[in-house]
Amino acid sequence: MRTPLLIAALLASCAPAAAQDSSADKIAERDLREMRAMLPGTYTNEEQVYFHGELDRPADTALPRLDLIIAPRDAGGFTARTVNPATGRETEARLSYSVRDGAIVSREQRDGQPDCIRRFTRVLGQYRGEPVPDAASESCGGFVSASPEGFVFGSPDNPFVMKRAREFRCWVSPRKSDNSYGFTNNITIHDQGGRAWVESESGEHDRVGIKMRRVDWPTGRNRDSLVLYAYRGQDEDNAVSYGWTGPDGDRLALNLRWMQASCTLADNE
Amino acid sequence: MSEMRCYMIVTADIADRDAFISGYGAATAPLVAKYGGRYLLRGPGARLLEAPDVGAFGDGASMVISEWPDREAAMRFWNSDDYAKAKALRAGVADVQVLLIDAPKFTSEPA
Repeated sequence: MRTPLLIAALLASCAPAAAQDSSADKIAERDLREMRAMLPGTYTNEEQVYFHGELDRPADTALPRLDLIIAPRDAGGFTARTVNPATGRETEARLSYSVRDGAIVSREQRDGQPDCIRRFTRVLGQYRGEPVPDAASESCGGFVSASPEGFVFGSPDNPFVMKRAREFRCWVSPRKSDNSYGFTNNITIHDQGGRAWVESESGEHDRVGIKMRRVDWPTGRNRDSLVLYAYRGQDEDNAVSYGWTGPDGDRLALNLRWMQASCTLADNE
Repeated sequence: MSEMRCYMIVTADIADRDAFISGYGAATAPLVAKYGGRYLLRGPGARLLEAPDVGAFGDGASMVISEWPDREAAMRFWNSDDYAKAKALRAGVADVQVLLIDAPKFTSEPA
C-alpha cells in the first residue's frame, strides 16, 4: 500500500504547481491581448525635452526629441517607427509577442542589429519588459515600460519618457487683407507638440500656425493644462498667443481677431 | 598592453553636429577612458577613395577610432549600462556603423 499512497501524495503535491503554471499562461495570454490593444498609437517626449531645457539640466544628459509611432502589422506583431523631428532621421523595429513560461516575451528586430528579447511582467496596468540575459539581448539598450499613459524606455538613470498623444481635428481661419476670413478644415495634429501651418500662396493672409501641448508641469504650482498656441509669420519658435483648458479637455478654440482656430478631439467627432 | 589590442572603428553620418558633440560625445568620452580605451582619432570629413556602396558612410563622414587593451574590454564598454545611457543621446541625431577588429599578431610595432 505504500507505493500507491506515495504516488497519490506526489500527484497531490504536483497538482497545485501544474495548476499554477497553467493559470500563469492564461493570465499572460489575457495580459497580452490587452497589451496588443493598448500599443498602437503615437508617442512623443516633447514635454521631457522641453522641461530638460527649462530646468537647466546638463547638456550631456539631454535626450533627443523623438516621436514613436506604433502600428499593427501581420501576425499580431507591430512596427515601431522612431523619428527625430529635428533631423528627420528614422529607425524602424519589428515587434512580435508570445506567451512563454507564464510570461509575455517580446522579440524586437532591427536591420543590422541582433534581436532583442524581453520578458514582461504586468503590475497595476504597467507592462515592464527587461532584457533576457543572453547574447541576443546585447542590443536591447535597457528596459521598456508600457502603460495606457505611454512608454518609458532606455537607461533607468535617464530614460525616454514618451507620452501617448491624443489626435485632434482642427480648423484655422486667418483674416485676409480685405478683412474677410479664410478657412482651412480637417487639420490633424496631436496634443504632444503637434503642429500645423496654413499658408496663402497669393499672400492674402499671413502664414499662421497652431500647436498643441498637454503640459504636465514638473515643478511649481501651475496646474496641468492642454494648451493651443498660435504662430504668425516665419517665427516657429515663439508663439504670438495661446489659450488653455484642463489637461483632458476635448475641445479648445482661440479667437485672436487676426486668426481663429478650433481643435476637437478626433474620437469625439 | 597585451599583444591582442583591439580597435573600434566608428563611421558616423551626423545630422546634428552640435547635439552630437554636446550630448553623446561629451557623455561617451569619459566612458572610453573608464573602460580602458583611448581615442586615436575623432573627426569629420573623411575622404572616400573606394567603395561599391557605402550609403551615408562615404565621403564627408565622421570617424572615431579607439584603441582597447583587448576585445573583452571593448565589449564591456559596448554592453555597459553606462554606454546604453550615452547611446540614447544620439538617437535620430547620427547614424553609425561600428566595427571591432583585433590587431593581428603580425602587425608591426612602431619603431
